[in-house]
Amino acid sequence: MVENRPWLTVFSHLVLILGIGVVVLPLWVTLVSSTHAGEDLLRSPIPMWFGNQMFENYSQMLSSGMKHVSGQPLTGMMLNSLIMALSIAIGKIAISLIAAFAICYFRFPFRMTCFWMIFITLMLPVEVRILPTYEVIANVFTPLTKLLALLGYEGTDVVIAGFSIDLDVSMLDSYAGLTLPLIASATATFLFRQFFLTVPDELTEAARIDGAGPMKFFRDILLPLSRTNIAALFVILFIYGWNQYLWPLLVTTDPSYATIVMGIQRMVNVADIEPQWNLVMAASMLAMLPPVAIVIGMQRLFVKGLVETEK
Amino acid sequence: MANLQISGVEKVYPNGFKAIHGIDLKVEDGEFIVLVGPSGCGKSTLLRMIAGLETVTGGTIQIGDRVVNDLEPADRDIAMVFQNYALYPHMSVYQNMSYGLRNRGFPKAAIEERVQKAAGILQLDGLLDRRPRQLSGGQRQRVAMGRAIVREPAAFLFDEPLSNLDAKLRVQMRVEIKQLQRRLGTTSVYVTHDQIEAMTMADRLVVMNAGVAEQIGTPIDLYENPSSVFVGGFIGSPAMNFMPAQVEADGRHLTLADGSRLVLPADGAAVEAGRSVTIGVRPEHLMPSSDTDSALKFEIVLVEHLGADTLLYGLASAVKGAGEGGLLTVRMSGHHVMPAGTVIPLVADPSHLHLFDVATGRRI
Repeated sequence: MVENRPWLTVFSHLVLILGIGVVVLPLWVTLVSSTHAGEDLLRSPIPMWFGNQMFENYSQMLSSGMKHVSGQPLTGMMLNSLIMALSIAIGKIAISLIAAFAICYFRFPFRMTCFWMIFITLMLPVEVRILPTYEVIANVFTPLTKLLALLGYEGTDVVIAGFSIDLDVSMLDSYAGLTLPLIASATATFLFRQFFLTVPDELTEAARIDGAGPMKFFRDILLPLSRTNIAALFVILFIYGWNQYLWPLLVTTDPSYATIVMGIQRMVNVADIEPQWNLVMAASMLAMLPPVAIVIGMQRLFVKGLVETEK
Repeated sequence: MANLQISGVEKVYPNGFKAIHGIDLKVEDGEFIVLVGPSGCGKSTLLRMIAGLETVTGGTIQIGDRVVNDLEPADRDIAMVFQNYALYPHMSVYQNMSYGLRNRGFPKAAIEERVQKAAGILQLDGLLDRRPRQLSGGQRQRVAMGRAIVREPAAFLFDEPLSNLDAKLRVQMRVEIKQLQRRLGTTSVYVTHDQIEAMTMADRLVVMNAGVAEQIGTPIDLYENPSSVFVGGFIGSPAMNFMPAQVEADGRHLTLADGSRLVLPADGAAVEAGRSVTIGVRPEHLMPSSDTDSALKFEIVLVEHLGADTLLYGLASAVKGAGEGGLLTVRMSGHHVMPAGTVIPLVADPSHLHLFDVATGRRI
């Protein structure tokens, strides 16, 4: 639309400024609040400009944390979040790439059944299947013991050839428990499948004639071609993993496995005393940094992966 | 270098569709064979079966002295050039050309030498570091050729390699491919639906129709002695004219539907009197006649001036029978100005008359 009407320009700018304001204001309040002393924030009106406690607040959060919550510095929680987000992002990408490769390039019985089963799980996000998932993580052998119970065998250990095997392995309070159930991803599998379908058949045939076996083709041709898609997915999945709240809250009780998002929740949910908002805000600012860094660092590839049509 | 022998090859798809009905073909060492036919005739399927990209459901394919029916494409000692080039977009020209050699575990120095040699032949010297998307259509085509020749295979397979190029480049690349093949002396099988490409490039042509090899022979042989109405109509541009006719009682003349008469070739095989036939005559073998009584009447509809030739398109009632006229094409050398609507009498060169059976379409 190319129109030159002054009031329209003014109006559209107003709308844009309003939109930016709505997005930026909470961030601004967070940033400003994290630079004040705790008492300042309990008084009305809340400050809209920087205070002088920035260094103190941030160094306290990074070195010793909040005494009456866990007394742990944020660095441990940040590390946990980082491990979780990276494992989820990398795990999801690896598994979906391989799954999509199998579905698109191999002929095996029930191929489409497999695809549709994966596709249907798209409709079952973590929150919907959280109870059964929790039970499986609490004891990995739950499905097996349930099956045995159905067959009339009660108990949590089986004896095979004289060895008693204890069917009770828990993944609660471990990185595996934090990440594994979130790694299976129908969305990413579907995305890669759609991308693989656009790769011309002739390319596959040329590679076959060039003597590349399936895994070589995957490594030498498909992976490099999926580079931008992988980058775009990585950004999305990293943020998804970083922002996980409900699941880590359920499966970890040991504070050494707490993630930053859980940590912030605990800081706010204190009993008997006022939450120290200045420190909470500093923690929030710190929690936002890694996702922002990832987005800024990979934005060129990210946009390319989302818009690129030429293969 | 090797010959290629195809014996009784058939292709039946899992859904029961029979694409190839038993083809026999022996390609000599160094020969350039072109498979030509309309779309869906099975020519690409046959090529892909030679390449190993389609399974063979009957008969044998032999390259050199090995039966290759059950070998992987990579083990058949062939190289293929695809219609859309199928270059690896993320690899440089050098990497594209060397990929097959690297997979076969060639030493680095040997790869370097072969790629440089191929690049020299194909004038790709300065482009080895470029990506395919930075190349023009013709250059991409050359890289695809390069990828084939570095392998020094027993046979080249071409699957309509020129159909993505513009007309001028197509002619140029056609000459280049043919020259290259002569120079390397590699047995080649080339698939195209373009009969000009087929005529100009082939040592021998295989005209395919509905999964059957209609005729195999040199381009000129096929042009001058088409074995069926299909081959006659497919080879040559503009296409051959066909008319129904009846052999007269003397066995030396033909009567056409409009009552005009043509002389049968004197040395032709004896045709039984009274038999209905289809006659085929190429546009350049029809010429104006002074004898207006027995000549067939031709009313000009459109004139095309090609410079060296003039093409006349017109209606002749001899083509379809009394009343309605069918379209007939006449090629005259030189430049002629004739207004539409002019009626001219035509005769056919008796030595270039082709007679076909009405029912089977086969040559008599």
